[in-house]
Amino acid sequence: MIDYAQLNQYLYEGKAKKVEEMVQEAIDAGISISEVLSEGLIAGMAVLGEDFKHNILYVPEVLIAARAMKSGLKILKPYLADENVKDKKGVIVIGTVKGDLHDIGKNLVSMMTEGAGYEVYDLGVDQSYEQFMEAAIKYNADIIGMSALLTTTMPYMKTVIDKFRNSDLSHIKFVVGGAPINESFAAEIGADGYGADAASTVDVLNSLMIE
Amino acid sequence: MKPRERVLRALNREPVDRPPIFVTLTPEAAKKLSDHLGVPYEEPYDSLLSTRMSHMGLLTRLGNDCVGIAATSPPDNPTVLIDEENKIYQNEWGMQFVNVGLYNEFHKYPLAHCTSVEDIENYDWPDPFAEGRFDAAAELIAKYKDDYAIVADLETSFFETSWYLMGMEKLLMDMAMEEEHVFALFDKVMHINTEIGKKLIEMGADIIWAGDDFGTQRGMMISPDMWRDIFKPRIKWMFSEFRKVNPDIKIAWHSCGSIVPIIEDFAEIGLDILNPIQPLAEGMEPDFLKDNYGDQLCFFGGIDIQRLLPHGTVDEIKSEVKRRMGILGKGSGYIVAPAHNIQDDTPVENILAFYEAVFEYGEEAISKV
Repeated sequence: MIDYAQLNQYLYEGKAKKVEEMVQEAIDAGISISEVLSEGLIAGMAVLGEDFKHNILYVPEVLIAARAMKSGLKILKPYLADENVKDKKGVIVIGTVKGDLHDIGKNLVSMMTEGAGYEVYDLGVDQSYEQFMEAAIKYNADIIGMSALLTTTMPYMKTVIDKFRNSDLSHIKFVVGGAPINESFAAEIGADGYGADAASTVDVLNSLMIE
Repeated sequence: MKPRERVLRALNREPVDRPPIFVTLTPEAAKKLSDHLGVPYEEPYDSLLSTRMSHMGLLTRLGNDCVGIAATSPPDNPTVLIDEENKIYQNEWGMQFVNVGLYNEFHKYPLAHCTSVEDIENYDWPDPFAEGRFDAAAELIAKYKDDYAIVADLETSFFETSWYLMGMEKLLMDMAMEEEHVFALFDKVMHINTEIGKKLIEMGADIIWAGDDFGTQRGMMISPDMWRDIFKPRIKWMFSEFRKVNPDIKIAWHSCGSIVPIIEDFAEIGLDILNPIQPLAEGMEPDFLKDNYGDQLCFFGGIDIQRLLPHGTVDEIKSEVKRRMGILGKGSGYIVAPAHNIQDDTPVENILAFYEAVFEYGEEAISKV
């Protein structure tokens, strides 16, 4: 019997070692991987996301919690392929656009998204449309997330979306975010969603995956 | 009214003929404007705060009332190109930058692997009093002090300089874990920069423009409680050190983003001027700020560079600058300025429209009751 409330709490407090220990215990006890993932990690990250959205937690606390989540996930990962985890929500490819090397917001989105049960491929910064396309094919992406901090680089988001729309990859959806981005800019460039912050982005992804 | 008098009167909330102006530019925007006006391009200074002290000839000609000064790298320890092929530069702090076209981005954080207080103590720190560090400041003061208000820039006071040295994610995580080396780092950087600030005040600065970013577009980056615990006492100490040199020094603080929960705290520890009032940051509405803090604080900034200046029309810019002067500058107590350096994405006519708006509507806007 695993005390998921306790595991969620360790995750919330960013106690990586404790999270690792409890995840390992759960595996050793033969509990299903998908249950540990959803009840232990995803549920914990959901609480964290809500508290981040409502200014109860801030960036430093989310970073250490995300680090703890990753430690737990690292232990689960080898088993994920074995056990056919039914709850896999979707494949997300994410990156900061060309000319822009700012990534802390993008990293938060990446961690939260992974913590919400998505398969996430973080391409890093300074990504061209060719690189987004290559990754979209390679990982069979459902949604692409693009980030920009600079007003000088945000127009490139439209370039990427246009390139996808005029290709065989036109079915892939786009979510954009970053300090200067807002809902109307996202709509203007033809994105399918706007992520105001890391937690809201997960909500947007969830609704896009249902569509 | 001389520019200097206009600034000092505004900061004492006395009547002025229009709000004083302090624009700063990225080198690319400065180049464009210089070409447009047919004046020689002034090379930027070698300083972490280069944009705030460079191109002052151009900017005073356009109508700036303030002149920025700052410490530069000492001539015997300048920022150098260490990797020509990859365009990597290293400054005297050991920070490495890569040029990615319109701006420099961090390439290597020298304290990325720091784990102990000893690592901080053993690091090769810049000497605040290195030979030549204040030469550029002295020249600028000699040239401009009679006519213009001198603003000593110290905007990356210790939090930002620390994240430039350690990397932001590690710094924030180690801080949340209350690792001792983080506080040792803050104190080390704070002492160096406080010495620099004191020297610039002693040389004749009218305003010290300190700062560190604590806000994001949507709210505080760290919790107000953590800020009160870690940062407030240190900033209070810096302010008291500055006032030991000149009790009448006006102190400004720059923090990008939304910092509503800590504005009152800043007023309490003796802040005079809040900058940059980032217009699109949540909760930083000018009427809210003027109504709630206008008696305690002057404002500096407030003109949007995320949408208005780069993408607005000349008419939109003029009417928005007029509107914001009317709110933030009502009565007095306001330095009108873009919320950050004007970037290369802003057309020349938009920059000129900003100045024209202040000249044309400044007096009318701030005297409206």
